[in-house]
Amino acid sequence: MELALETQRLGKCYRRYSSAARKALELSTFGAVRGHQPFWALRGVDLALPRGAALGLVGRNGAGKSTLLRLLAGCSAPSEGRLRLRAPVASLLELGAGFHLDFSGRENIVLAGLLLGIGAREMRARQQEIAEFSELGEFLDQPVRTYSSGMGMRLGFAIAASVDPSVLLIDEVFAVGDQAFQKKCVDRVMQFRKQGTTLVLCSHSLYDVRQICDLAAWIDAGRLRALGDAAEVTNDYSSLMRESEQADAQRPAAQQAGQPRIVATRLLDAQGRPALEIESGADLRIEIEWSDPRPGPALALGVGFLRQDRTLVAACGTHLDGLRLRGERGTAILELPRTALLAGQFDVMVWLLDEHGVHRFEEFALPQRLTVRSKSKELGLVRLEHRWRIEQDAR
Amino acid sequence: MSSLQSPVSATLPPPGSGPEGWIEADAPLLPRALRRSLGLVPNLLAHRALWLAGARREIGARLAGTLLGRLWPLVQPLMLFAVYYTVFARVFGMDFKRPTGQGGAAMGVYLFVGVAVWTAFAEGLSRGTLAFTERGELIKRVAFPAEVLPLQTILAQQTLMLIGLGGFVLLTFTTSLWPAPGARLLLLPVLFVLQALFTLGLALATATLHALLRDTLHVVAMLTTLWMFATPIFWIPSAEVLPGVAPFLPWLEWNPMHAFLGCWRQVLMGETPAEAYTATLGTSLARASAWTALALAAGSFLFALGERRLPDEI
Repeated sequence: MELALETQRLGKCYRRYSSAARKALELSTFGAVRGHQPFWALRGVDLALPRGAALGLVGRNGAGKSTLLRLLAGCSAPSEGRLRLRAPVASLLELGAGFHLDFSGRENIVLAGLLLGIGAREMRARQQEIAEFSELGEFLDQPVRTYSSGMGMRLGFAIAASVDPSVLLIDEVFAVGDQAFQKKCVDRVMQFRKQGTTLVLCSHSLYDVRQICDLAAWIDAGRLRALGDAAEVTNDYSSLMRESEQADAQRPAAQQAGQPRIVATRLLDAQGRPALEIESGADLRIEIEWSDPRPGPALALGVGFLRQDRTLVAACGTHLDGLRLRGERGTAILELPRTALLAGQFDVMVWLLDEHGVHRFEEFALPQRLTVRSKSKELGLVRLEHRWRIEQDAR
Repeated sequence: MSSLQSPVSATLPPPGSGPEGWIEADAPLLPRALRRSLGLVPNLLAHRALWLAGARREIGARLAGTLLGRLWPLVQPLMLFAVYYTVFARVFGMDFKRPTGQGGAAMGVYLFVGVAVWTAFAEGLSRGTLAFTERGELIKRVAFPAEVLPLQTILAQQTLMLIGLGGFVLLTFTTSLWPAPGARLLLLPVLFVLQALFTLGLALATATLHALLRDTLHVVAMLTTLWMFATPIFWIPSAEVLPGVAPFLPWLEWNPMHAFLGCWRQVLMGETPAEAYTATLGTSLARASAWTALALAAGSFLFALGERRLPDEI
């Protein structure tokens, strides 16, 4: 099997010095006198990704996800072990964190290309493609300092999208930008996957990881805690996060500081069993437990079904149906008789919202995906109630 | 100054990668640093588009938003010439012993060339020292050869100097201020490259040290000031003109910038006034080249030793 990315007991250690004098002493003795405290941000990571694989990195803040990405991107040297990637590698680290602000978008395209090792001429040839993808229009001739953060992001992604990397490293890029552009980015990433680009994606959105990746690595305190199927690893991770959150919630102090949140969700079939796979047209029932440690204004709940490419197939909300959630805790039961979803895999999203449905307190993807099987040959996402009538032209 | 930063990066091939493309943590340090420092200049040549664009951008950024724009690099040297000529030649009455036949402009031209060349060197070194730390965000996020950063700063500085010197050469062709330099002008590109590489060698060392320990810039600033007085910018390295300097002259000739100034002056001013030079153009050029090779070898080796720690330290 041809590997696109390989690491062997990869580790990164940062040196912490308590004073400049200790550092000077260590430097001037070429390390013979040790003046630093070692801090291992990452240790013992073994990865082997075949060409075309997509790996999602999940873990808490500071677990070492970004350190791993920076090592893979080659902008940080390993302290232990070794790594190998199939060139060319492109990375989107802290997308749009800044260009040369005084220069126009077009000039920045060429500069970014030079850093990538792509000649100015070739980069100018790609400019049209980048301009179209970024949808910046006339802003491309304006200095980057006049851009909004979303525009900078678009330009950054468009530049990365215009190169054809063997390995693409992405750090939290889907967290920003408007929905339409996010979808465009996801589409482009999916297209990369089809072309056989190997992908490493770091995201707090387990939903994105599940959508885009086939593999996931759970990094915890600098160690690889789990590596395997994206759905399994993200489910393990999210259930652990949930447990630790619930443990937090039982402590009064945490409760006081607590925001309204979703405590548990259940996706059930007509018989009240967990529904992982249903027939199109079957009944579905979703139960959502919520808690509001400091009951204030009423809350609302939304439930939506998303296709793999993030298209929202259908969604409903208590606020849209004139219902409000009040009190410290409770369970909302949503019954969906004769589900009209057609065959496919759907993610079920639950949103906990304020009473107007504007502010999102929590957005939660159900850990398991809903698979719908269908006996009919009808196409599309949902089955429309329909009737045919044929009128023969009498000639 | 805003930082140049791009969210995109590529490894081509990964810097510091060994056989079969492995980036090793425990590759032997000294052989790796030796290999890296020997490959530094070829690597720079391979990435020339990057630092050429970088130098252009730095020049552009320094002139952007000014009324006179491209004229500034000319205005400043002209003013310097006027000031030095008035202060040193007229007020202090400093001049060469023998009449040079150039209407008393000799001292002014001598000072002007010295100051222009020294300023480019000293500014290039001090800005080059900051090249890594000022672009920390870029080095942290993008895999690219960091040695282009001091180089582009130095090139920008020297280009501005060249514009000033070009103005002087133009004057020699159009006025009777000074005889035109002639065929020796062909040596200008050689001098330009030599001095850029010499400054780069020093700046690679100081920039690496500065990333590790922020005292470096202060030390560099202090030593540069001392160095300036040890260099014949305002004084004439001649026992005849300055008898006081005679006992120190053999030592002062070990100063690399002494050799560089000798080269620039002999290319731009010719052999007169003879007291200005302690060596022939050939000897000065040979000395400058030797110093360049030494500075570049030492600087790139130190840089190669510390390179891997840069992203963690800035």
